[in-house]
Amino acid sequence: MKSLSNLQQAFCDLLRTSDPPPRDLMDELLDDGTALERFNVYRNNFIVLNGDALADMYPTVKRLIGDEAFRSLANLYVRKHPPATRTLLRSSGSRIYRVK
Amino acid sequence: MGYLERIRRDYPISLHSVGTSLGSHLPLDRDHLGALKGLVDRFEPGIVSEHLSWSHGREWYTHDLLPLRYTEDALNKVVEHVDQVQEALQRKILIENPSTYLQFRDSEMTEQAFLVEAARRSGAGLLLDINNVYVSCCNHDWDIEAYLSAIPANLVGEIHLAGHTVQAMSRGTLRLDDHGSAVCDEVWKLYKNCIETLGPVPTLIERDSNIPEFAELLGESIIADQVLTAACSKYEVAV
Repeated sequence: MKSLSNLQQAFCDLLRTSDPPPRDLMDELLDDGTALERFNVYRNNFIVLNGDALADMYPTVKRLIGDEAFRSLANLYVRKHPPATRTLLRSSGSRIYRVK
Repeated sequence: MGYLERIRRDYPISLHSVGTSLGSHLPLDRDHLGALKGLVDRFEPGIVSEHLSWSHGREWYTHDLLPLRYTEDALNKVVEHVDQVQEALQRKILIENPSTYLQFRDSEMTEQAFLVEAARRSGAGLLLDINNVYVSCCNHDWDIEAYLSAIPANLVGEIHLAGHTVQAMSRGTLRLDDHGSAVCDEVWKLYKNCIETLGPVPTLIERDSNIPEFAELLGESIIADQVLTAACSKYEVAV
């Protein structure tokens, strides 16, 4: 059993990737055969809700490149640069500026 | 904020926080707590609430509400953080039960036992989200009656209702809290039963996305009003 801090840090770090989670995290989850699908709900939530926030902040970019392309870019971006502030509205502005 | 001030002049409001990360192993963010205190002082809400969850690691934030392992050390951490929030805000808060999609193998107690104990030790109340109870109980095959009957009426200061979606898995289905659909019949039934037991409790219907026509929203709020009004007459509370 991982300590509270190790468990949360591992859980959090693994939300950013699409790789299969390591055995030692999966061992922490109750598994009826669907533990990975259940963990992936949190991965998906992380990507979608932060991607939605980017879409709200950059409607013009989204309009120019289209919904599908924006979503793909947002997924990559959110994984590479996860939110560095506690407030969603202020999350990614400065980094986006640098990318431009 | 201008709108909110005008609304606050005429109505009591409930402030629902998502960012304090009560269940995190990391210390609370003092700047965030200070900003929250600023809001509370400015709007003087009737109720302040936060979720039983955690949301960040050491260097970055998920902005999601992540599930807790229900152990004694996690309980101590939650109680410590609720104490700190209540101390900073100089008021009691309510803790909301989450929708969860997975369970940790080494949890030592049920979610309802964890919630009630966290409230008792910290002096906080509970925000009972009936959709979340339904979603989590269905997702983990928990007994809904056992969950709800473990919640003491005197701890419940607010109720939330919301919709959810059902997603297929390789085995069975998973219910996902989405705040983007109508409250389902089962949740309405549980709500009516809860209000009969608890008496009239301030109720909020959450809808953040996929907002329907106003008439549909109004329709849901009328149903909740009728349930509350019936309870008010039973408990002889002035409406």
